[in-house]
Amino acid sequence: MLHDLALTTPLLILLFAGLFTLVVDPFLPAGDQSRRFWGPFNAAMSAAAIVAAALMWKSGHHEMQTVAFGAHLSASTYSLFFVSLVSLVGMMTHLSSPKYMLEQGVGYGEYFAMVSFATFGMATMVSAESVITLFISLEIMSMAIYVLVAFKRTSIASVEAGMKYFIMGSVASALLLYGMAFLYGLSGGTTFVEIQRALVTAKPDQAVWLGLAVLLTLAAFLFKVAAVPFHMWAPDAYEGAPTTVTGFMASGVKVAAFGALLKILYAALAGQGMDDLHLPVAAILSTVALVTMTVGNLLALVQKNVKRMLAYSAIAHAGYLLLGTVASTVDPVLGAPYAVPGGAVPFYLIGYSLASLAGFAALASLGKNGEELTTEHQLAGLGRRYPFAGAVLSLAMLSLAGVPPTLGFFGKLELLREVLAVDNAKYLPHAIILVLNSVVSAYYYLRVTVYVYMRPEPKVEREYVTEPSLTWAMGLAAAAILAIGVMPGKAINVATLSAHAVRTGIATKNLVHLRGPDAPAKVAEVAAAPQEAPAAPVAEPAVIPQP
Amino acid sequence: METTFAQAWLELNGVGGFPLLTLLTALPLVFAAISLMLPGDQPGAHKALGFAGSIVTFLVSMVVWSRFDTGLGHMQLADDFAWIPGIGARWTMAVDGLSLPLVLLTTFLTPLVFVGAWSAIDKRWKEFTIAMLVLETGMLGSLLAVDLLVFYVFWEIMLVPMYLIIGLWGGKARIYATLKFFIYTMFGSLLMLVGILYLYGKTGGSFSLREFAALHLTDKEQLWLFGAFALAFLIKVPVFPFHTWLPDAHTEAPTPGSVILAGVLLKLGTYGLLRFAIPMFPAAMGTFSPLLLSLAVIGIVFGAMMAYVQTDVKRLVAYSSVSHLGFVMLGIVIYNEEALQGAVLQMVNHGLSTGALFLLVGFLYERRHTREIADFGGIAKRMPVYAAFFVFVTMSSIALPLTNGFVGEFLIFGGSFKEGIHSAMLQPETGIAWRTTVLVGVSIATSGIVLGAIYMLSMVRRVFFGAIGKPENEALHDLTLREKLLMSVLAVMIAWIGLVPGGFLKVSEATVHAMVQPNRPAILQVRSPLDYQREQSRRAPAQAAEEAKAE
Repeated sequence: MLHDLALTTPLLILLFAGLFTLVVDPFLPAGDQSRRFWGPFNAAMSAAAIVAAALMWKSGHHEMQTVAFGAHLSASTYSLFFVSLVSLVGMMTHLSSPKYMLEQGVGYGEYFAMVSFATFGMATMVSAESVITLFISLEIMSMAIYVLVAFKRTSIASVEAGMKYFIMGSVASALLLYGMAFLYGLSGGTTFVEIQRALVTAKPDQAVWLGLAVLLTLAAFLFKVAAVPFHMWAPDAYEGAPTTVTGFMASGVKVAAFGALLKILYAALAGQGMDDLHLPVAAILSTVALVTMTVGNLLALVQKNVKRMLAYSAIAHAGYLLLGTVASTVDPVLGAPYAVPGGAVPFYLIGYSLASLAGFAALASLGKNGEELTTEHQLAGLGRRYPFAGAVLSLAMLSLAGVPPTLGFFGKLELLREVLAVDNAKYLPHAIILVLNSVVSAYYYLRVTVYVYMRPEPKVEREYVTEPSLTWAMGLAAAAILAIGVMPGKAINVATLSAHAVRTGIATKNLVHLRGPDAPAKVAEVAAAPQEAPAAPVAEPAVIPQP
Repeated sequence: METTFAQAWLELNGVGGFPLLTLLTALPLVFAAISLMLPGDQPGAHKALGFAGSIVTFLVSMVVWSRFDTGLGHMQLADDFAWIPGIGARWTMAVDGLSLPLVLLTTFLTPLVFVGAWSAIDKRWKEFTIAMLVLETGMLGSLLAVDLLVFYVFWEIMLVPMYLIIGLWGGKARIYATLKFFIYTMFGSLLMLVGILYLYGKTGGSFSLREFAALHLTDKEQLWLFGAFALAFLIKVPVFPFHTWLPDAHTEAPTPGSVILAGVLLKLGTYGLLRFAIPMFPAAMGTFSPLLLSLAVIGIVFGAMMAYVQTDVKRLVAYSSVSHLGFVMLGIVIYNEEALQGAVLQMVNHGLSTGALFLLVGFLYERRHTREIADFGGIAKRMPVYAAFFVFVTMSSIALPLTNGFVGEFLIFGGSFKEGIHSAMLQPETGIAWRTTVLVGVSIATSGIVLGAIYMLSMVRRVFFGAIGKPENEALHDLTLREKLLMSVLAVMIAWIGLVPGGFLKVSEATVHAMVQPNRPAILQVRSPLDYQREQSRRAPAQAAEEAKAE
């Protein structure tokens, strides 16, 4: 038990931060100013979670006994990476929020508790080793975020956004639960290990149910990452939510959802490559990816509100990332036919979430006096009057557009590199469509910098939200975008290591008897065992003249 | 078709020495960082810093030149470090006779641009200094990189400062122009990125140009990949019909932006063809030669005709760039030693003369805030020194003998006629199609020289001579000392290359020879197989003798 708890230290720190905030907040003196303290406090706790995860990574602990609570949670290289990333997102959100929320008239302590809870949910989601844990953590995250979206309760837009997100999100949860029920029915277990074992040896007559289970599960994740055709909620939710919450959603939810999606795809559903699922999952995912990125980019082109534009851009990025999920390589431990994802998706997520956080933090500085000055025209003059926020916003846009030497460029490079490495450049057309999409996206990202720097300043004086912790959030994100953009080697390595460890030790042990060069034969043997002898061979082939 | 020719000229020499080229590339960035830390309300400090930074860079480039061995055609002074070990990307930089002239052009023009910007840029000097220095780093990095990933990164880095320079200090339609410039260029380069990554997959984990050039690719792969790379470079040059961004960008850009854009950025397109696209896919170059030749010729004539009908002096000079770069493209497509030497020299010449023209147009614009030809006339009476410089640079631009333009164009046409006529006379019955194309093309291209004289001289006549029609022009004052000095430096270079071109040709001679050695046969194999056989049979004894000498 103690060992189990020790393995979940980063998660416990996040949970404690949220609970502590919630319990102590009512006893603080009245007045909003004292609530600002919760921002730095929760940020420090998130930082502590990152440190804990980093120490566990360093200790090599994760390489041996990795699962806790009866194989329902893990602290593998994979989950530690994603836990650090979502904690980073949480930390940045805490740092950029206090003054902004106060200006918006909702500077309550519960806000920070909710962000911590959501971060805890995300961290648990990416550590999940069973469908039960996955579902519960997804709900913890979602519930907290529904509240956060509707947090500006005086604003109709915010409440409407929260309501929409809640209803649509419930449908997604239902889909996920339904899919999981099928998976349980097929495998008789709830952990990923059991599911994968069962699916590897699935019989052909189970194909229909397996396909249904996979489709339902995928649909739920496609909803969470706002992929077309499940993207309708995103623009309203992004626009209506307080800006810092939008940044948190855009980065955190995407990181968590992709972390869990890769996990369930590779560690549970499609261990032996996508094509082994009696369902063309790779084809489905890559097609959805193309449609998603194209629709997202085209709709982003015509948006006048930067938050709404970034919502569509987030949809487009979900498309890029989905294409990355099909770029698999051979499991370095188990060997063929077991597949693991490449490092591109985790690495891309670092760049994407940092750029989103930097961008939304800069936009949060426009939220003075309860206003939301986020249409393009209201950005005019930002580069002159608040140069730091203008520069950070522009850098974030360039990174999202993938212009070197920002991190966003290397994210896209890695993604393209791995997508092209699949099967002798099988996805070349997809890669070309991806870069054409990037060209389209450059237009609307650059338009933001046009308004920031090149349009004449408005006559009216405008005040901006400034505070040290917001400046820190912007500065840290911008520095990371540039620093990792110049020397991306280390981050690529870490991301690749983590992606390759998508299966935990127990999963590997469970599958190890199926490894080796004759693994495909063995798998086929197991799969075919209860069946009758193969059908009589087809008619003799025509005589082939022997040389 | 399967024969590949070893690209010996891409061998790295001098690895492990002092990282001079990395230093050269990083220097402007260091000064940009200093500028970033200084407060923005002291334009004088930033002016001085920008000038000092570009002068220091120029001096270091002189060191590079002094340590450069003109006798050796291979890559020299190479730096080679691990950069992103996880994906096998290396930081590889080297210089040869192809890149050195352009590197020197870049470091020579940048300080001049800072001096020229002194009065042309009237606001936000801090941002301007940073943008211009980052741009210089981008240009130098693209020219020196021999690793495709490093090249691509610098190639894209150039976009952002240029985007800002046009967008922040440009004219009325600057936002349209700058977005068009950025997106058009990015479109081309992203397809090239896909090509780079495809080749990366083929090499099994390297971005090195040498390994890319040593790959065995099928004909179909070569064609598509050449297409992807060439598109990026042709847009940059720009070759007709990809030129539409250029007149807009030039017209709207502030003078310093136009000078750098015409002076260096456009050359990176032709440089990219020579450095990357052709050595990696010579057979595809053979296939595309007739098409590229036609585009080059169309560009020459079309650019000249468009220039003739312009009413705005700057737009006229912009279209003249389209025409002049057509000549460079012609030399590249022909790909024999004379034509290539001419093309390399003409890149530098065009940088000097068009850079000077843009500066001169800028001086006039600062005085009158108009560039319409109709608004001037007879101003030689009020600005005699200015008129003298303008006429001199015009002579260089229309390639009058004893100016630099003449040397370059003469070499290009000499090489082209050799390709068409010389071999046709020897064996008139073979290879008719390609030779006819060359001869017809070159004949049409020659008319471009005449057209060039027509549009430039008619503009000069309308602006400088005749009676002063407008009362505003009576009060024009002549060049200041700063402007005179600036123009003198450029005029000296123009005359120097024109009078004694030997030293400048020497820089690129060995490299061009080493470059033609493997690539010309590979191109000829596809373009005109009989010429290939003839040249091989003629070369064989010579090569044997050379090898014997080497032993």
